[in-house]
Amino acid sequence: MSQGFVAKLREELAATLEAAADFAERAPVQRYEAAVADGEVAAAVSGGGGLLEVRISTAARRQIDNLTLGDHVVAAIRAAESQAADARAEMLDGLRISGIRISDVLANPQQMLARIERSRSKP
Amino acid sequence: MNETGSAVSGGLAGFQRALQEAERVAFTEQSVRRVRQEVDDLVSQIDKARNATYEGADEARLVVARVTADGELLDVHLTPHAIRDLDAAALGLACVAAVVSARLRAGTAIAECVAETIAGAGNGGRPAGCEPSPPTYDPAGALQAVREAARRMR
Repeated sequence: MSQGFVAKLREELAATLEAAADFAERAPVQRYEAAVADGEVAAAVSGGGGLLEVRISTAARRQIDNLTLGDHVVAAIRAAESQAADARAEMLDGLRISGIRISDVLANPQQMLARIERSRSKP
Repeated sequence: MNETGSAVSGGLAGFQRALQEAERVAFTEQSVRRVRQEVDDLVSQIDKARNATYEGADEARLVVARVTADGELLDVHLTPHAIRDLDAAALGLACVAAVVSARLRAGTAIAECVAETIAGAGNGGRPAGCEPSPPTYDPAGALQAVREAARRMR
């Protein structure tokens, strides 16, 4: 395995660890919001997935029946959670080791091992 | 569990006893069947908890939420009383309380299921040398350790 490859791999691994720590530190205080029903019902979740807030407008409370309002609350919470999930996915996609995205490494570790094996044959 | 330790299924401990019994009698057909039954019971016990839905409500039970074992939100039911008795802000707070309560119930149920499953197994069901987790978790310490690992790698 070439020394340059190993040094690059170490640097990328170190950067990945730091980026993951940065994200984990920010996640609990990060806020993701989504609104449905023309903004009458909204929800906010943290980066860690905790439900922070559900806002229902006075008009929605008066005009929307209880069952539909429940559906709107679910839709708003799911939309906010989806934003938080997208942010996590984006963070993972941005992290690369040896040119391979971390999300792909996690999905298929053999791919990473194969690349390391190939590098062994290089001087 | 009866005195011979082989008649009633009992989580991981039951499986261990069935396995020991099977070894003792040189894996007779009946003893192997018993081991298989214990494994099926274990899987079914965990599946039951994993496939169940969990309900939570605000303190006055005006809003009820249901979630999966993973905490995925299935539905939120606002009772007619909730609409009548709560103003918009309180309604929002009740929704949060219901969802948080449902997720807490789901988490607790899964933890209890795992605890019941491993109850009575050797070393509290833990692999040798594996001590129970501390009751509190400090993410700051863990993140510091990750940063230190990154520093050493460079």
